[in-house]
Amino acid sequence: MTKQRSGVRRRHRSHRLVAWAAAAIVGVTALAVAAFAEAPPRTNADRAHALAERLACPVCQGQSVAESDVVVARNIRREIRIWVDEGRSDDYIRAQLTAIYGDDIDYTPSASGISSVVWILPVVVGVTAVAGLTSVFAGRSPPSTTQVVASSGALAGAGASDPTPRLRQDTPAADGDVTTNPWRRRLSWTMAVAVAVLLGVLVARSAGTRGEGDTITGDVRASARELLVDAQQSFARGDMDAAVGIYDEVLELAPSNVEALAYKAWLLRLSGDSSAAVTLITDAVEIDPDYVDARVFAAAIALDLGDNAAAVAHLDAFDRLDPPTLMRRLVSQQGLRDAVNEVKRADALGRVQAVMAAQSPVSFAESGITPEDLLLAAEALAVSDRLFEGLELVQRALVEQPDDVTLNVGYGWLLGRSVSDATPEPATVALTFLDRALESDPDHPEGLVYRAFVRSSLDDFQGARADLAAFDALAVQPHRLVDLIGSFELRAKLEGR
Amino acid sequence: MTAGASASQGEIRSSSRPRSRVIWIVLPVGVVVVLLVLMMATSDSSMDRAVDSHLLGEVAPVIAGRTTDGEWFDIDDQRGIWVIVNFFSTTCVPCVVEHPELVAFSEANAAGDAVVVSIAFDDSAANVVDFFARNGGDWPVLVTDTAGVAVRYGVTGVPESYLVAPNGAVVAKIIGGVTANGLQELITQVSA
Amino acid sequence: MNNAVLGSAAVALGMAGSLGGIIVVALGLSGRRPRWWGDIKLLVAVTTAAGVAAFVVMERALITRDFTVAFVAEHGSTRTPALFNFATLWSALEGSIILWTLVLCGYLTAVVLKFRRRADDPMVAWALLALFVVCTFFFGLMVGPADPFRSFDPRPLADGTPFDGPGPNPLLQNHVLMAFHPPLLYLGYVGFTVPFAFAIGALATGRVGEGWLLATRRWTLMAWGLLTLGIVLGAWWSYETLGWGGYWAWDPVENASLLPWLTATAFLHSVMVQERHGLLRVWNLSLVISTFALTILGTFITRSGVLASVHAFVESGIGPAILGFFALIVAVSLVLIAWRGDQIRSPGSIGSPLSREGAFLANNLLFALFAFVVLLGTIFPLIVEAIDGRSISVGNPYFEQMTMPIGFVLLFLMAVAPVLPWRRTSAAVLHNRLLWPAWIGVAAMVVAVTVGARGWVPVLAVGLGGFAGGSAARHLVLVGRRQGLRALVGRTNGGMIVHLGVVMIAVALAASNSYVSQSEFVLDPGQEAEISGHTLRYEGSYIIEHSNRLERTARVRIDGGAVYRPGIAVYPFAGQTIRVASVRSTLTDDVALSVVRFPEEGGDSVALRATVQPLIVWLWIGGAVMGLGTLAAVLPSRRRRRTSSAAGDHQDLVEDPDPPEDSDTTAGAGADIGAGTPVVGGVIS
Repeated sequence: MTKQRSGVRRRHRSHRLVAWAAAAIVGVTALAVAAFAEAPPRTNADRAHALAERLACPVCQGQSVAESDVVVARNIRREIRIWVDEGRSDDYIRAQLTAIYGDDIDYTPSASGISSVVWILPVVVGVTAVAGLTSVFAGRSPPSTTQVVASSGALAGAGASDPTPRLRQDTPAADGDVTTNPWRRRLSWTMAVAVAVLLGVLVARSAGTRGEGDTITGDVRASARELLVDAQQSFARGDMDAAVGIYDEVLELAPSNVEALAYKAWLLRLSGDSSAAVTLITDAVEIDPDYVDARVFAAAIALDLGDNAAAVAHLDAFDRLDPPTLMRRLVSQQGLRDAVNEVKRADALGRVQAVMAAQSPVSFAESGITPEDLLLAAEALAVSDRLFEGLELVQRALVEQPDDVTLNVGYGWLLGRSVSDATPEPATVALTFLDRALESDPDHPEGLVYRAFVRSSLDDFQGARADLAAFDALAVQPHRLVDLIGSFELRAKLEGR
Repeated sequence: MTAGASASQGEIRSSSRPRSRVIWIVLPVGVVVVLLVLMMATSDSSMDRAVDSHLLGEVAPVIAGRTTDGEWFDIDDQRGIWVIVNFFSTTCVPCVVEHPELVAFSEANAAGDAVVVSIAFDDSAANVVDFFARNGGDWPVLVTDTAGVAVRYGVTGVPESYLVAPNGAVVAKIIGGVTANGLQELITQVSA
Repeated sequence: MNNAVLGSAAVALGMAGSLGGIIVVALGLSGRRPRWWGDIKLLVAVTTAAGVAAFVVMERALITRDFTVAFVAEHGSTRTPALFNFATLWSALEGSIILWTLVLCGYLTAVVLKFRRRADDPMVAWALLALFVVCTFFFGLMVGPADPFRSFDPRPLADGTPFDGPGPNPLLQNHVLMAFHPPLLYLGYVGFTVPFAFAIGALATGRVGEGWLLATRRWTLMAWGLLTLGIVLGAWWSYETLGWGGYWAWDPVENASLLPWLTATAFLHSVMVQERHGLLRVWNLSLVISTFALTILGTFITRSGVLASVHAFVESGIGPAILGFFALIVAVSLVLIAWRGDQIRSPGSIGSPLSREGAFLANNLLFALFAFVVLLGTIFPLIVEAIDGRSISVGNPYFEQMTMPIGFVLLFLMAVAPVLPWRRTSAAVLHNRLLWPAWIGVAAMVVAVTVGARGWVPVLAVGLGGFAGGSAARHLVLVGRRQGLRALVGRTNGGMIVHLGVVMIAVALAASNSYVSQSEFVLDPGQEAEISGHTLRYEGSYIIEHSNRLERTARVRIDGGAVYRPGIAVYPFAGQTIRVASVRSTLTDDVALSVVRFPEEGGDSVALRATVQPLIVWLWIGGAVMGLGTLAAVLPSRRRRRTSSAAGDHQDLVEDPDPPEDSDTTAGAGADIGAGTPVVGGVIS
């Protein structure tokens, strides 16, 4: 009887096992497929939405960026979308936005510092509670399997007869079992709490956001720009070595950063090493031919090295770029323009003289001498106190090309400059040439400015003012002329009258 | 009175354990609740939270784009001069109020030591062009694709202005309207 | 009659009535007034009449647009449609206190009627005292810091047009649910005052046994069901009106409503252990007191502006008063528990963790932990700010990650606990009762994976949901086979129906959270867009001028079928623009549409936001099932009704602890064992 029964029990037990194992296998397989099978691709829009849901709108009361309709939230959504489309990581985007709007827009509390408590505490409480309950149950002697079956049967029987059975204090020894060993008990409690804290920290680590010290990678441009500001600050303080160091750092990040190349070259030149600077600055100009700072530095370095042609080319390019005030100031501070002009003039004079000294005289135009060259040559003569030779030279050219505006203007200006209080006569002559030039080209900027000077020297302030007004009305005012007017304070003089 | 209640009372009387055990639960709970109440009683309303800028001392975020005049503007080209980056919208009243001040500031700095750049915040090009035609001002104005700029500057409302030093770093943030004198003073103050 | 004066008079009368109630009950308890019950009946009638009068007067003022009442001038408007005008009462702070008080008066009257024959029981007297104190507090709020009947002088405007108010917040007047969600929520919230009052009574009289539990069991159940419906309706409302596919944002105010729900749910389960075995007495008292204290704390959070929330009422001066009341409740309760500490300890302990009571214990641990997580997360920003002045946010990522594991274990327990016998169990019992539910869970997972569900979280949720649902269904089927449709009433059976509702909600939550897909499109009329297999065709827009708003509506045809109409409504008088969402719901998925903007210039294009989420509808269906289940649980089961009618009137206070229902399961289980395992049957015999 008993034998038969136990056989039945065994059979049932194995049936049970099979049924549950089958369920477990199918269930785990389904879960595994769900977890590891290729999910339908998550679109960028989905990712952007998930991110926006995890950030608080900075100006709203308790709404996320995804929910809010205010402009700021809309802008942030757009920006997140752009970052996502660029392939930035979630962490990167979150770090960018918390850097801008503050940590409190991140709905995920940080895993570091005091915020981590919010992650750790519930885990500690939960684990400790489970440990407490376990210790209470473990303190009781666990009934054997047969006892369980038997008493459960007994319970079912009792339940039928007595609808409200009261639970007896069935194991009075339970408490005693634990309390007799206070040290063991304390130890196991400490262990439980320690494990709980450890678990909590793990949860915080895996769930919380990255801390402040963590680096943000992937935006070279931003960091290079920041370094450049540091370098400029060191530069402004006069700490050249530090500045060079920072530029080197920038160049490591971005080897073709023109600003770093140009400024490092400039610093080298300031420390007297122009030959080292030249390769850097040549690179800079090559990479970005429109970078004004580089053009100025290149011109200065070229002059240092005697490469006059290059200096001239750089400064010409600089002038064409409509440079900002600061750089123009630097150019005049460094006397670059004078130096370059000197070079240009000497060069022009040499070529003109070569033509004039030729055995069979040819026209200037034929021998490739432009009116500009002639004027430069004349200027060269004028600055070396050979004004009359200069005037003669231009006169000779005017015979060849009597209607050339540039020549007329230049001649007028040379004459006009020779005017002094002692000999006012040339001024009237100068005026005729300038008038002629402006008749054919009323918008000639040099013509207008020079005539303003000449007229003012003839006390024709009305006319001078008109010329300046016409100059101001031009689409483009060459900086050279503006500077010229400024350096002679012509406007102030005219205002005074 | 019920049988159950009296039964349990009987059991209670027989229980000899002192109340100390309950006290050990009640006390900490009490302390926590007292702290909680104190904390809530002393915390400020969430509505008056101060905003400050992450940008101070940092390099000014990139502003580059076509202005309403069709020209290209890039804040990096403004190195060497002061730049006022002004976020505005044509429908915001304080923006309309501050506009003449910006015009005055811009005229006072016509020589080129400082420049204003306005960035429209959620506005249409037509409105902005019309706004400048009516109220004056001839500095660069960017209207299209300004959301990204606004986010990178952390703009939360208009008007909001940032002062960018000649070395390209943001040195001040002004929430609300600006005045020409205020800006000038700010520049002197910062450069001192 | 002047509404402001009438209303103030009603409030004053209510204040006097409830203060009088406190005094009379106190006198009665001290024995100096033996015939106090008659006075109490009168005072309750007066107080309730005053509460009703305050409500009626305010509604009258709103309906007649009596702008001499400041509340109407500030929140009412002649333009508001009738339904929302009626609901304006609870759309702002002062009115919401009127509603709260009205509900409280209702419960007070119900308690007096229910316990009219137990007047000589000190426990009832103490409970009445507690109820009157709460009444006094709320009438006090209306007398002091939240006076709804301040008067106002509605001068006509300069151009002679008569005064008109701005109307309630536009967001609160664009969906019918707004008329039902707050009253249900309040019915739930305030309902917990009754069990709280009896818990206080039990502590004060020292009769901390099971009497008070049985007295308030149905009250708790009903309050819990109403709160459940209130919360679900609130989620539904925000889903339908906000149009971004969200229904629960872990906002402080939402959390504030969830906290008492969690502790009350824990209580509903652990109460069975105490009824059956007299265990967990301190715990149950603490749960009831916490539930009530948390409703008050929630009121504080909603109305003080301490925590940033979309739902927060305009900041007001009643914060300190409510906080003070919260402190008072907690202090009194703690002192009482400490005082009765020696008497409360339960006579006995739980034997085996693998038993019904062990499962309930685990369930309570998890619900308490759940509540702790929610409470900690909600107030944590305040803690951090108090400690080091930084401001941080704790939002949905935190709550989701911390509560998800708890939810999983709860689902698992929900499957196992109902089939566990009391005291002890065996492998055979578990096998017999759980194998089919387990296979249902496995099958659900397989189906989910076959229809394309990916990611272990939602699939596990589906599996556990199937397991728990199977377990509940098994119970209902077994009982139904014996008793027919009547099996659907009674506490245990109703509970199983509630479980089915919970399973629906859990699966819908997991699915809709995991498979949300959202996009923004800019469409010209006639243009189409695709999202998650749905085609949206923009058909153009039109403008309608309503009395209170100007609405520009886009017509969007979904999947070539019906046209849905999201739009943007401008409420010129309130100076607000809101979006009007439009949702197409089916049993499998929802398409929610909202208009981001109509570009100002050029053409009739629209920027449209579309959100597609699966199974959303099951959240609301599940909520309804939970409500029905609660109703079934409140209704007495057939056999119990027979016993109570036989037992007579003195059963009023201490109802029978429902042995027949509980033995339903036991008996059912016994039958199971008998049928399935001859071995155990043999042991029994």
